[in-house]
Amino acid sequence: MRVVCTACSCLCDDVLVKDKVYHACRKGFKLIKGEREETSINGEKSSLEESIKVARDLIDGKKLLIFGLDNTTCEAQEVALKIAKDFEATILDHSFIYNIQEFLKLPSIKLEKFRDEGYVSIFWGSNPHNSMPRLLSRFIYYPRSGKRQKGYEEDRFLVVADLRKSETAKIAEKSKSGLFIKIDNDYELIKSFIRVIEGKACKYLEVAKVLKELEKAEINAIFGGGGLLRNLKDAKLFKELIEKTGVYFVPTLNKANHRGYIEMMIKKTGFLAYDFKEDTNLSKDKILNAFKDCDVALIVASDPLRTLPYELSKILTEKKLIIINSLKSIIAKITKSVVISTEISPFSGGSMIRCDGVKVQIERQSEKVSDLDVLKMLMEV
Amino acid sequence: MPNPMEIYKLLPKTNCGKCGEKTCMSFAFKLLNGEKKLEDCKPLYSKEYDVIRKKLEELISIVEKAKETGLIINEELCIGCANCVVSCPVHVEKDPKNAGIGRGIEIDEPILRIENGVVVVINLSLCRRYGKNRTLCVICRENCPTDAIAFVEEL
Amino acid sequence: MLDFTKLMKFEAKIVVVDDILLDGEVARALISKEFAKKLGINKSGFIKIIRNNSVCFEVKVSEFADGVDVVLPSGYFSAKLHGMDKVFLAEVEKCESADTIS
Repeated sequence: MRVVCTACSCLCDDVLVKDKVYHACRKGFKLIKGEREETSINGEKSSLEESIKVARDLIDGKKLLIFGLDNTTCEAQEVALKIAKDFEATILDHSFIYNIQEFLKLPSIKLEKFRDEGYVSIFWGSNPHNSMPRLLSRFIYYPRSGKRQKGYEEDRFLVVADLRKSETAKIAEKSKSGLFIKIDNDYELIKSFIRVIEGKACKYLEVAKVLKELEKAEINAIFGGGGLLRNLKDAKLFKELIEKTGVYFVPTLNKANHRGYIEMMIKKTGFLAYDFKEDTNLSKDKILNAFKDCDVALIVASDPLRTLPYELSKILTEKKLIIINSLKSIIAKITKSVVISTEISPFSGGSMIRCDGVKVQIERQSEKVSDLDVLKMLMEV
Repeated sequence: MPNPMEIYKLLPKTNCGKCGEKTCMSFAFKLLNGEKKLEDCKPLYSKEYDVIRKKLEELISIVEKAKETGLIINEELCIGCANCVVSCPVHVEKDPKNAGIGRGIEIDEPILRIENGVVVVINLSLCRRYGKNRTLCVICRENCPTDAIAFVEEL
Repeated sequence: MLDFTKLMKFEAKIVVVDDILLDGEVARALISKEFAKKLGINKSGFIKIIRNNSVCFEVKVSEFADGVDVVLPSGYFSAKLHGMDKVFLAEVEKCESADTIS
């Protein structure tokens, strides 16, 4: 069967699952064939109904924190938000680590359009080789498509700005149609672009070559990763760079539906994390207290012990936990919690929003309960 | 990767011709190319050559991993990014609407395909490094950032 | 002969990144050639990183750590060290084995 791979925000729709998994990268294969979680209560196997009932009893009347959600479908995210409202809970994902809102307002481009017409791609604080392994081969550098039939040798130019020589940087460095800029300060690189445009001297001399390449085509884009989004306190100067160069911006958020969560939260609450009890935005400085103050945490499609700073995830391990997940997680392994096993997203149906903002539909191909089903059950019990 | 001289040094060097080659040096070359097998050298299987034969077997085991064009894939290093599959000029020509534009390759017998998360060699007879009009194409290797692809002569 | 590098601590610039190949039940990381030399590590070895907690990693000398001293894959082990910053300085010393998920 043909599935949409939800291992990262490339959301590859050409993956074939038969006797083997075809076309999916190592990340995709790990998701599709990885070891699944088992439904259990405090380490003892249990039925779905029993687990839902115990979970619901845990939630009722308690201070609830809902965390995760970046790897589940838009529909499940919406139900989670409704639970947060109904139970006056706090809801958040990993976005508080980034300064993403302002960046999403910058002019952006669909990956298919870039594949057909794009020339210069600048990966800034981003190493898609690991975060979105097929991004270069599917959309950015290697395809011979639309107006870009000559492929990477002549029709593309790859720039990587990073503090270390990543795998993507290695491709850029050894290619005739690429350039690696080793940076130690994102602001200085932005300033270098602006200063060269203004005819002034700058720190990173390579930007002159990049600007020359940018002039050769109309469609060029910056792909900003965690390294960039985390480091810039605001997007003001970056916005100036985008305006002056006329390039598009695409965030390379690696979690499959991270963008779906961000868009939903901005639309419905205006913020990326929200405390419904206080009816207020949960700012970065309140996160630690929100973790400390909760009685129960509902974790959806995430393993906080792998993704959160230890000072936060450690607090969660001391709380009562309800874990809704498909693949085995460390948090389920080392805590006594209510674990509800769900179908992985490629089979569960629904929709997700790709890193460039395109909504991708996922066909339901399994009868096993999805994250959405479980969240609905939790609400309806 | 061993070179012919390393192999030759371990052979009996008698030029006995039992393998069908005129000289042991010629046998060493063909052994590396995969045209001959170690078993073709009969004298090596006498007791006096036991230790040397084991050394040769170790050397040749590396060669045997290589496919016809001398392409070796180290699956441990591959992450299935498909740069090799999409950049391959033969794939572009044979499957322009899938591999050519970055999608998973759909022709029946491609040179390379991503299976279970890593690249696998399927049909090397299509590779530009194979056959009568072969060229020294290195595109798949050049675009592998983790050096998971190598050619025999480069090791 | 005594290996004095075992007794020495060095400050290292560390970055936390996604890395599929290093992700697993054993703490693994990459180390730059220059920093490995400082520690007396040839090709591969073990290091202890001390910051908030201490975690022992199995390290491999790699070109992908060029530009920094140590590259940690994001995940359970690096989360114990990094706090909110994914680029940080920490003390590093040689050790004998790597941490595993128990």
